Amino acid sequence: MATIHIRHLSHSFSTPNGHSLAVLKDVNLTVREGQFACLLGPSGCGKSTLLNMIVGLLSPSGGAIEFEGQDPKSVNIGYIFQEPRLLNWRTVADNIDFALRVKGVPREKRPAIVDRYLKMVGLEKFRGVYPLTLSGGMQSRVGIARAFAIHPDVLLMDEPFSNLDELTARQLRRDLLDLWEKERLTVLFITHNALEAVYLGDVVHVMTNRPAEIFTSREIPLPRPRDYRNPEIFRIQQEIVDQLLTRVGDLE
Amino acid sequence: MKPTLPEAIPASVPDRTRSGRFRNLHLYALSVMVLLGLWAAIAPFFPEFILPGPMAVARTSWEIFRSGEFFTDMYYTLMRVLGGVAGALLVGILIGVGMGINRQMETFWKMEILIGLTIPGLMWAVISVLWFGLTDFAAIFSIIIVTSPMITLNIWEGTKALDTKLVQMARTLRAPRRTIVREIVIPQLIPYLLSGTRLGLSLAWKVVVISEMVGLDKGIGHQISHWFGLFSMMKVMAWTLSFTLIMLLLEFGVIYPIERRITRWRPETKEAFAMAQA
Repeated sequence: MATIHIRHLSHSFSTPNGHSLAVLKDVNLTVREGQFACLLGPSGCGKSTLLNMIVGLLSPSGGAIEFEGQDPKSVNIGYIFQEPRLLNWRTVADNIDFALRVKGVPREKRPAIVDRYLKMVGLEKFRGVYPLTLSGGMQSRVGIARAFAIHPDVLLMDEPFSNLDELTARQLRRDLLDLWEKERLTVLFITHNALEAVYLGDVVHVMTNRPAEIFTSREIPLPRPRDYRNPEIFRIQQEIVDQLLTRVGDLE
Repeated sequence: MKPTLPEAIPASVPDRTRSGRFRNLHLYALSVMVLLGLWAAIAPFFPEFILPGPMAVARTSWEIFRSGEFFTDMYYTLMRVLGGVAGALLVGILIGVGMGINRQMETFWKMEILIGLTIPGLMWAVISVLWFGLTDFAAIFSIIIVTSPMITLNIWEGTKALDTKLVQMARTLRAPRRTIVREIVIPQLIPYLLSGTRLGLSLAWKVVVISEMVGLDKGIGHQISHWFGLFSMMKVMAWTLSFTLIMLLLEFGVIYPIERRITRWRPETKEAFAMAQA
């Protein structure tokens, strides 16, 4: 496990007509070991760009990403995407096995790990089934199991529930928190849904639009397990949305 | 945690006992029966050298099978077809993948494919015999030229349809390039490769027979041309029938099972439709 420090991170793309478009501007963020951090911001504000830089698919234009006490190349990162991104030609079990294989887990240890995580997401009966025969929510569960199975130091999640109906999303959030409480991973969860952020996070970092920067961070001191009916959740959520609206309104 | 909500119910768990190659068998049988029935009904109105009946042709076919001469010629035809289609697959993979990943190659080869698809196969059969003489290579060459546009087209489609999000997923796991090619790229191309091969084969059978008729001294086409010279309608039809039977056997006995096995992860079209409706 690792604490992530993001310092003065900036990123810009060059546009075809030679201008450069700033996507991220001076982003500073620390995710403590074992913390569930949410990053909230409007769609298209550069949140995914940030994740891609943390995972190393993209190099920052400026600033640094550090993993406390670890070489960034050796940090084991689990990534859960907006879509399940499964290998549809492999069974549910093989999809998890694939990630373990890539991570170099010895063959004789893999089946037990696969079984354990399938059980954790309630899919042990579907191990031999192909993903396209599953519902969207179940496919998401496979993606979650795959990310947890590799025992990541850091778990990055990019709006993983935004394509699901609210009922399914609620169930999966509950399940995700159960898993997280068992394994206490360091999580950075990206969302544009303020209620989701407040329900899940130990802390919510709020981002503005392009160029994105974090303009406020807020600890959520509510006890777990949390309940959506808790008026506190709703109140904090409303405050954050108001802040965001005022701030984005300023920009226009 | 337990999946207690409706989403935990699978949209469909495929039932493999009912599906498979024998579904709708009765329709296949009916289709063949209708064809044979029509033939048998019409044949008596014509003399045998114009249209022999199915039973008589079947008997002659059986003799060709029993004497063993069929298998010698079939062997030559089959080898030429397999050689040609293998060559065309190589060409198709190289060009098709290139077209899928490079804009300039795409535009360049698109035109060539169009031209290739337009020129009749017969032309190539004649040209390659003129170029390479009465050799196996002449037949193989014409098959490569005739089938590679179709195969290339399929591979090109497949390469364009590659899901790069899966590649990205593998890269977040830090999968090496070798693994990404083997586990993510190739499996996605295989269905396209398969349908390309199938289309290629169906074209190759037609071209090879023409090549052999033009002058090769062995093969099914040679036999048909030989009996044509002797005005034996019975033998021409018997050879054609035998050939067709072997083709169907290959299609249903080899290609179809391979295809089913490789694409078994896809939900049946009907089920996919039901999922989309749900």
